[in-house]
Amino acid sequence: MHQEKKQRLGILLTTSPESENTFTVIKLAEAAISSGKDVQIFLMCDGVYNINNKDFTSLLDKGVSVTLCAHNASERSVEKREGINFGSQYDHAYIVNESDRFLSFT
Amino acid sequence: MKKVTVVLQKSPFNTLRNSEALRMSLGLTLANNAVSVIFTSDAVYNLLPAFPENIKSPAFGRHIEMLNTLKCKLIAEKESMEERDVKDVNYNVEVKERAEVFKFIKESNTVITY
Repeated sequence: MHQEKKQRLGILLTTSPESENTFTVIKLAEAAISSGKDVQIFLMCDGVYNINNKDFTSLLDKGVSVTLCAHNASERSVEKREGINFGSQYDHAYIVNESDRFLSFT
Repeated sequence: MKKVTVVLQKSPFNTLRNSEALRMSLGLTLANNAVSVIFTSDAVYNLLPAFPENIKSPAFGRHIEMLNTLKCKLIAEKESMEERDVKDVNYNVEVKERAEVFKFIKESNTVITY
């Protein structure tokens, strides 16, 4: 049986949880997930600090995929966390390439 | 191939943003993306000869050179350069008028502002 491919939303977040960008990204991701889309978030620069934010990590339980730049995390001594993919710019390149829509919050 | 455009707007010093944005631009070439970088507003200062390592700031020139080597399009906005009297740029960039830059951005599949 033919199954329709889900639309994919990619998001880049480079700001720390103190920025209003975090709230915007959480609400956008929740809305996209509830309308049946795949959501992939890539964190880099100070954006890697968002994995210490409970509201942000609650997105994992809702089915959002979160990848971060391990190089930036290492620079900031951010420790590994279950459910978060410690990846690289290679992952980002593929998220951008495979997304139907891509939004940047920098 | 996806047309991905990275737009830089900030000056090179007091921030890691430019070197990170250029590192990210290089990374974007790892997938099937046609990557272009636009230097606008204060970001045109990135194109002047600079020695950021002298003030312990990350070197970004090598990223620009590598993007050139990878045949990524590097575009500087003419009006931003003129407003700031930026001449004799250190890199091989294409200078385009603001209207052309807008058109280029509009034709991109993905735009990442930095």
